[in-house]
Amino acid sequence: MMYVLLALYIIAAPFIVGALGILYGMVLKGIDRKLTARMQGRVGPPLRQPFYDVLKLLEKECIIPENAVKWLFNAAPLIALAASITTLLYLPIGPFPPLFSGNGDLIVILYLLEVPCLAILAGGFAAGSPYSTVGSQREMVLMISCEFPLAAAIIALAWKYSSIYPGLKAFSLTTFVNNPIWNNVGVLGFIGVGILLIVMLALSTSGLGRLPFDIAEAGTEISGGMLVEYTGRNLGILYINDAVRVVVFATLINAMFFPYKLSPLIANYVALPLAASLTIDFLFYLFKVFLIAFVTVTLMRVAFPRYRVDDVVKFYWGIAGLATLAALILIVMDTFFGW
Amino acid sequence: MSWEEIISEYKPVKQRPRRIWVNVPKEEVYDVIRKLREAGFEHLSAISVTDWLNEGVFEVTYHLWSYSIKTLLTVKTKIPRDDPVIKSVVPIYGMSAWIHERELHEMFGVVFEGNPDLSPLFLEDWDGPPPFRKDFNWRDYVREKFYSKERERDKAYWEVWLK
Amino acid sequence: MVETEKKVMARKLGRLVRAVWIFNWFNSCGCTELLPVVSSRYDMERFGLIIVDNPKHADCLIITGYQTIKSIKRVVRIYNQMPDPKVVMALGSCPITGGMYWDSYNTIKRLSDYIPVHMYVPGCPPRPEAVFQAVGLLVEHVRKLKEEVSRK
Repeated sequence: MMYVLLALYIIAAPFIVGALGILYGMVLKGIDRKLTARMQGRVGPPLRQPFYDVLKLLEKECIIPENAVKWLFNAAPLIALAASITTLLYLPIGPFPPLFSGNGDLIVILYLLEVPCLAILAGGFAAGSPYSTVGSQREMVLMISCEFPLAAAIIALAWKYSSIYPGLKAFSLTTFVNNPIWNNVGVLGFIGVGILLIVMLALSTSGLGRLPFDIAEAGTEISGGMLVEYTGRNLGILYINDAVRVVVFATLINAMFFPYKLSPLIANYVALPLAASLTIDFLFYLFKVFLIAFVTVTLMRVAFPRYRVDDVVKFYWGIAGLATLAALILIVMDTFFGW
Repeated sequence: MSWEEIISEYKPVKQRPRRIWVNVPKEEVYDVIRKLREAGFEHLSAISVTDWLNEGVFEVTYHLWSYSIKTLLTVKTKIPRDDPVIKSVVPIYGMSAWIHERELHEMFGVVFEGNPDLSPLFLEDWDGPPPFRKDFNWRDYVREKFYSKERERDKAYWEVWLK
Repeated sequence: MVETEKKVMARKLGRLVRAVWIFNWFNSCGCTELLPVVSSRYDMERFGLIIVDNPKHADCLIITGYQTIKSIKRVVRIYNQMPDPKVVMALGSCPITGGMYWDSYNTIKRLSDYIPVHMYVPGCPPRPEAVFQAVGLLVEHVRKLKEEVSRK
């Protein structure tokens, strides 16, 4: 009996996590469009608008260009969506631990975050249109420039954990969740981790391909960029993939920097059964993900225009890279001098 | 030579402060414009053509502006309507003159010798006379080309309007 | 039409009309009063309509005003690139009969000779409220089609 339940759990859990990612991602997208509209002084679309968009896209005809590499062109959106949902399986969803957990979670996540970009990029090259080639080249530039601050930030935090708790696995997300980083650093380390938080928020804006870093899908400049030749069903899958990646990045930042639960606070006053505390923690997680998505997607989209391609590289290798190195030095000083 | 001396032998007319026009014969206009460019009129605002049907001439007009002297000088020439050929000012003013002369060639039929490329700008598949000429009967041309006698909706144009 | 074809068309149009994506071909003077419709004064995103920059992502082609012989060739190419099902809206009086330029040697006189048109919006240029009424008429037509199909 136990084995049957265990087998059911192993088979059903990825579907449940995937469904949660897709549905909550689209809800976040709807809220983002509504809030953007209100901030610009208009009334926005109804909150269910992304669902109407996807349902309409699934009904349209699928046009495949004549000199495209057909198998790569059709497979790219599916690979992107599959990689995004797989990343969700390695991340802790609220109070529930991640489904797959091991020695080097963060390194696997670091690579899995790049796979959807690579897949869409390959699809852009396979489409055989000059606009999509230009868009794919811009996406390559964006990815190259984001690698350094991302890797440096993750390694800085993992090194901090390995120096404090030598027995625990440094790159595993369960370590991050059980020992929040803010409790284990002094004043200098506080400033360093704060700088790393700001760099990670900027990195998720560019990882999602949103303004001010949406040079790959630039609308008015290269009429759609990498997505130029995608119509119908493929475009619908790319739309859903876009929504899931917001949840992925927000959950990653939530797990690394704010893995707090609400139920211990309430359990001081009221005795809570297990189901109630799990529900409260889950809703609190959804609220935190909404806040992070609001800061990285909506506020950035409303406030900033689009960067130029070479300015993006200067920003990430110049300012963000130096900031990450400074944060790393501050964390090292914090460990050795104990301030 | 200063620009006043260059144009003084052609009897310039001063309309207002900073607006002067002068009539120059066709054979000397290229040298006059070249000397004016060296004397300070470095900006070509426009080239335009006026069609005088009664006298049988095209009047080619060059509008020159100078940033230092701050005067708009208009140099006018008359060329015969049956053989409208004139020397192009592209060697003096470069690509801005090229675009203006291309449009005038397409719309009036004036041939500019020395222009690198006189292909049409706006009219694709054009099979009529140059449209800005005053003897071009555009209503007959449009009625022939766009409204057919057989279609019910277009019959009104043949019977009542466009006469 | 065969019964099942009509049902399929009703379902497709019903889904299309909730999220119409419009291609950005605003190239004549009929689009001057369409710009407040796009921006925040008469906001059109509240009905789900957004502007896309690529004919392959679009469902609706709005022809605003006169088209010259040079640009009508490009319009036909763009119309062929859009995926099914698609809608064409003609704004202004120029696509209907030639409008203000009825005796011009370089503009086309009737747009329906070149591409199929589904909705004409008169005016020179049409007011923003007229564009909204046109979209409303499309929605009404789709609703009636769905009722008729579901009654059978």
